[in-house]
Amino acid sequence: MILFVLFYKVKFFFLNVKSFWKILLNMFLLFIAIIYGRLSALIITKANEGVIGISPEQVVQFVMFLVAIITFIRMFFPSYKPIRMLVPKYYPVSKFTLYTASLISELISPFFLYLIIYFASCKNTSYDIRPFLNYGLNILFSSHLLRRIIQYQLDFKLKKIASVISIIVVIGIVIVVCSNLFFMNNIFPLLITIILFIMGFVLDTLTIEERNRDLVNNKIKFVSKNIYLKMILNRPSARLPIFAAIIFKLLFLGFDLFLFNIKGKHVFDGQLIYWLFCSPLLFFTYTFNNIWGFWKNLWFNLYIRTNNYKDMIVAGMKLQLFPLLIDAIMSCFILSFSQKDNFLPFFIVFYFTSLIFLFIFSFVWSLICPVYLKTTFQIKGSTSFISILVSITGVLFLALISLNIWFYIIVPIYLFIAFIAFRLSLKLYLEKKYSIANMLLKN
Amino acid sequence: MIQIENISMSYGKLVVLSNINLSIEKGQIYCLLGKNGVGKTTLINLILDLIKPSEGTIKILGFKSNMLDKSMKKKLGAVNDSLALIEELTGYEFLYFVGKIYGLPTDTLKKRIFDIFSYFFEDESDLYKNISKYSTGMKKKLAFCSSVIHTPEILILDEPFSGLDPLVADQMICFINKYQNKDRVILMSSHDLSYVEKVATHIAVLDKKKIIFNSTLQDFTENGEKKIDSALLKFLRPNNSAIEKFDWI
Repeated sequence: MILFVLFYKVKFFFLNVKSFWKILLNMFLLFIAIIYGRLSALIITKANEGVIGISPEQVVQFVMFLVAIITFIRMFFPSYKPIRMLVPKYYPVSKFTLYTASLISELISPFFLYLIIYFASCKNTSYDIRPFLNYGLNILFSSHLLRRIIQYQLDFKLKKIASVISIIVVIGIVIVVCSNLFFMNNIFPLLITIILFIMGFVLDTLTIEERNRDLVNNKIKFVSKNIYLKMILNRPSARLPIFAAIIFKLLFLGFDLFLFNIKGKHVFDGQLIYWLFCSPLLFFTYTFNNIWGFWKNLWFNLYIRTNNYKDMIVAGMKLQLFPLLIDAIMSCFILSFSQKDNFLPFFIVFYFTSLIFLFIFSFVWSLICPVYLKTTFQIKGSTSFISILVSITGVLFLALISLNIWFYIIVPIYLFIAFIAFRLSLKLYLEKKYSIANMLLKN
Repeated sequence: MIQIENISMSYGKLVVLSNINLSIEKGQIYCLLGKNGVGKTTLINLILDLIKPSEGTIKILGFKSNMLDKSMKKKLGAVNDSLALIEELTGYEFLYFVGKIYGLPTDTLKKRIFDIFSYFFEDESDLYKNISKYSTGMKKKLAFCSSVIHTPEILILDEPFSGLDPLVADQMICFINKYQNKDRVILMSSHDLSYVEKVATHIAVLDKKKIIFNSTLQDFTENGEKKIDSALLKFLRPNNSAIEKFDWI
């Protein structure tokens, strides 16, 4: 079975790169991986010769940190990618084979291929590269395994003991890696990878079943005044990505605050990408850009009973209010501790402009490119690709205001675009309402 | 009150309804009959403006169905096949939510919720259960409650009796008969002919993409000489002879 999965994945990869542009893109990425590998080798050599003032070990650790972060972030960003069950559990395949095969099917992907080529391109330096390759491959696999362990909590129902053990293991591994124990000797990284592999297998065997995303819990029994909050809390398909976005952002900002206090630098210091994580972007790319897909019966009710998109926007606003309020408080609170003087006016302008932009556009995306949800975290994404792309680009451009005060001129432009988008959504509603109804009725 | 004019509906090359004309006036209870998949639900979804017709227009209270504003929608109550219940809420919260969409005053709304709920549900504590915990029949009843809570002039019901036990179906018939008056109109689709017989004033039979019968219940049953099921079989001939082929049963 494992051989079949190997063969199938490789075949599928080649079948998928039929078009000229895809071949060109893959060649380009391959080239980039080699160039970066050679560049890293050069930096390590220079560091070894004492030219750049840092030790080669520090360079290696920095590279490993980046590899781990990128591997890990793939899980969340720009949208959550769930663990794929290769075949249902009732198939007559041993649990170990099933686990190994599903792991291999994930590892045989262009992402891992490019990173392995990157590591292989780092050789031929005067510095002994073997530890680098050892750390590199192990950190690559172990961060992927760590990602899987976390995802087991989100995607599957586990026995309680399994959840507790996995949380302890994850915390332990993070402490080990962060405290540099990982780089103590050559055996340690391999040992961690093996532990994580075994842990993953244990969790796989202790999985009760895949989460039923449509099951609505009855945790809140009282008659709630805020029914919109209840619509979030009692709907796992919406609750999970919103909580995931809050936790992810909290972790990112917490880590950033920690780094700022220790080293006086931010995670992506001086780069616009930093501000992506400070805006409420994740809530929109996860959930709100497809608000009628997540709450289809709310849409049906408002449609049948009012046929008025303004009413739907108001209902959508009430739904978004609580998570965005938490996000605004959290972001403002944490960032005020990790930024320099005169930060607050900038942050308020940036945060609230991006919020208005994303909020208004979420109703345009929900209208023109709704996505039907079968599960919470589906492979094709729970919001449309175009909405993710435009949201990210929009926030990145807005972050230009951090570079120069002249860029503040784009703020009114953003507000104007949002206003136009609002008017447009009201107009588009009459035309697009059937496509939403069609999508929701079909399924 | 409802005018269906030359309505045709097709999904690509598949024609579902062809040149349908129907006029439903005040005081009538119209029942759509027909085989499975003949287009009854499609016709109801067209009236509710959930799908766009390929040709023709539907007018409700004199206005095109796709142009109805909030005040006009207030005069319409509907249960379609998806039921559209917000399952994260309790029965009470859902009815309250629906009532507030229609702008009912809180006191009136509360009274109506308790009245209608206690009529259809034996156990009042069900009102405070999440809808996700309801059985299919309970969901059907709740959807019906939500469609009449604002006392609309036009009531459109897709298969209102399916999934209901005979007792509740009988309660629903009583309710519909009490609800109906000379200013209101009810359009429903159903397969439960014994229930249809108790409420319908008019019958429309859909077959082969068209309306093949459209008249009063008296005409349909030939002034009561035929039972409703045998009257229907006159229009929809079953292929019973094909059963002879099954020599392996």
